[in-house]
Amino acid sequence: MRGAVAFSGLALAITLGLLAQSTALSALGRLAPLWVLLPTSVLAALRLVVDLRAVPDAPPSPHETRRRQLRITAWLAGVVVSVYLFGFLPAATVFLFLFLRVETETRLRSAAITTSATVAFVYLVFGVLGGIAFPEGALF
Amino acid sequence: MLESAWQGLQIVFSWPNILFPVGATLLAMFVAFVPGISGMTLMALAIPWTFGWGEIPTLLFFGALVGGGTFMGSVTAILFNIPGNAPSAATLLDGHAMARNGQAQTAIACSASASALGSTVGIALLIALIPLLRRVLTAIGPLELLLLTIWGLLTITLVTRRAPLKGLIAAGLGMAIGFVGRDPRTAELRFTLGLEYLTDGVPVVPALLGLFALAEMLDLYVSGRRTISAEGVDAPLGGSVREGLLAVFRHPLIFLRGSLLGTALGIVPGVGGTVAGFVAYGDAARADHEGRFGKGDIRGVLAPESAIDAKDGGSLVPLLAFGIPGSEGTALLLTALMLHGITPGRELLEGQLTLAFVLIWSLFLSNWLTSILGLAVSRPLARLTVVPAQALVPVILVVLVLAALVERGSFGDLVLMTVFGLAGYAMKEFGWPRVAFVIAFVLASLFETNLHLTLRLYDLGRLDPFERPLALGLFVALALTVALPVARRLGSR
Repeated sequence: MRGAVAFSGLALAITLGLLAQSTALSALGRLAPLWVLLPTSVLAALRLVVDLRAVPDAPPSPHETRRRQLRITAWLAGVVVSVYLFGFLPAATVFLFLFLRVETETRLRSAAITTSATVAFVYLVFGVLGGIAFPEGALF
Repeated sequence: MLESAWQGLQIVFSWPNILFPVGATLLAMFVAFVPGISGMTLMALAIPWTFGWGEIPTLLFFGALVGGGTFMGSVTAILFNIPGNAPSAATLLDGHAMARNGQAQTAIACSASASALGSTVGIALLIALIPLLRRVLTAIGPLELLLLTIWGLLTITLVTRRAPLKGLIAAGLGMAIGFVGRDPRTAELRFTLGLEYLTDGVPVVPALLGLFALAEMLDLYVSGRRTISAEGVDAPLGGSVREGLLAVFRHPLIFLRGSLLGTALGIVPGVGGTVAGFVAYGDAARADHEGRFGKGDIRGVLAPESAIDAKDGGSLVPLLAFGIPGSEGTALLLTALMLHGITPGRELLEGQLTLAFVLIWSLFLSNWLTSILGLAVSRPLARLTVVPAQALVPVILVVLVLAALVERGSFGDLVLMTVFGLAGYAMKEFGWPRVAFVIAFVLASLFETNLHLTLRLYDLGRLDPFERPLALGLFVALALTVALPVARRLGSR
């Protein structure tokens, strides 16, 4: 329930933010955005009120679900940061291996084989056959 | 014209000419199945490979590339919720739901038959229109395009009946995000937050990858499901190839409407397969009175698939008539043809009609070949829905990261995909329809551009709606789209 309210609030905040930015545009530039954002902000405000007044009809998400949500978000953030720092191939290799070992508790040998096979496939198909240059990292 | 058509057909199916469209089709199928290398990339890579080729092999090869990959992009959309190409994003709405329900084979088979038959409709209409191509194109102006996009936006109300308020808000946000970037009329930057990355707008591919593919992978992990279809790894595959193949004949109106919509939208330059797929989906959702769309309804696969492949035939209309590319694919096709001394347009249509038909038949052959070969591998492919999720999630995440990075070589695309992925997961979690967001997002710039052009032409006294029969027809269709459901509801009370 709190999540639903927060999401509705976020939608309203984004709409109002865009609306505020629209006022700084020229008359021609803000015509279509205003036509869209004015009714959207009214509807978003209405939705937030509905969510605030709603009686929860479902139990809150279990602790395990929340934990998994936070963990996958952390993994995702880690992948993005490591791709930026180290480049795609090293980041993908390390992520895949660590995820299999830590999250899914895959055995060392299976994790190594899956990681090697995936990285080799990506390298051959995209790098060699596709002629695509893999992004390099800021550090290496 | 018939003689040229027959000569073109003989050229395509003769030896060794047949090797070119078959080879191109196989290549396009493989590329389309692997997210990250789009059909556009393949066409661009193929141009230097083919520098020494003659006219006929060039037409055969590139004609097949245009149509060869679409179906396989839908296969990844159905199995993994990852659109192999942007137009296939509409297919995943019900296609992946069918896979989760253990109906992957049915969905793939339906996609195969809708693709092949939809492309046949598109090509048949293209051939029928050849004598009228120039008149058809000059009849389409800003007013007609504006009415078409409004109709596309109206379909949002049909796909969000279960959550109309959230649907409208999502659509409004989608449209607002579609306005991000440099305004083409005033050149001022809108909603870019001072970021140079957003100057050209929010890129479609990373946004779609995040909103659907990444969001589904996040959901798969969080839900703790053992496999995509929630069946055990040893479970027998559900679904029926026969049922999927026959879906076109069980729902002929949905198929025909999707194909006609796809062809019509393909004719309009700049609209593209993504728009065609979603508009067809929304149009088909009008027949959903039980609220089954989005939960694995085969009609939700049939409609966009027939539209996406019918669009190929339509997209050749501006190219053949005026030498104007109507899409990225036809722009690359035009480049390839011109580099080989073939100039589409009046010269090709009036002086070398046989060559035009070689292009058309090659496209026809590749669409059918893709569907037949894809169907042959549908069973082993459907097995992937019972692969343990714990192995699948990280592998697909890696592929998605690469797919976001290679499209434009921009790290910003990876960040964007991640943001949209988290937003898409939250939308799914709290019941906000992503399809409403996407339809509005892809139609936003088309809507705004043609709104301004229409108003401007009207102010200058150069636009009289009553002298434009196509616009009047579209207006009547729009009015009926709105009035009929209301009348039906009032009548049922």
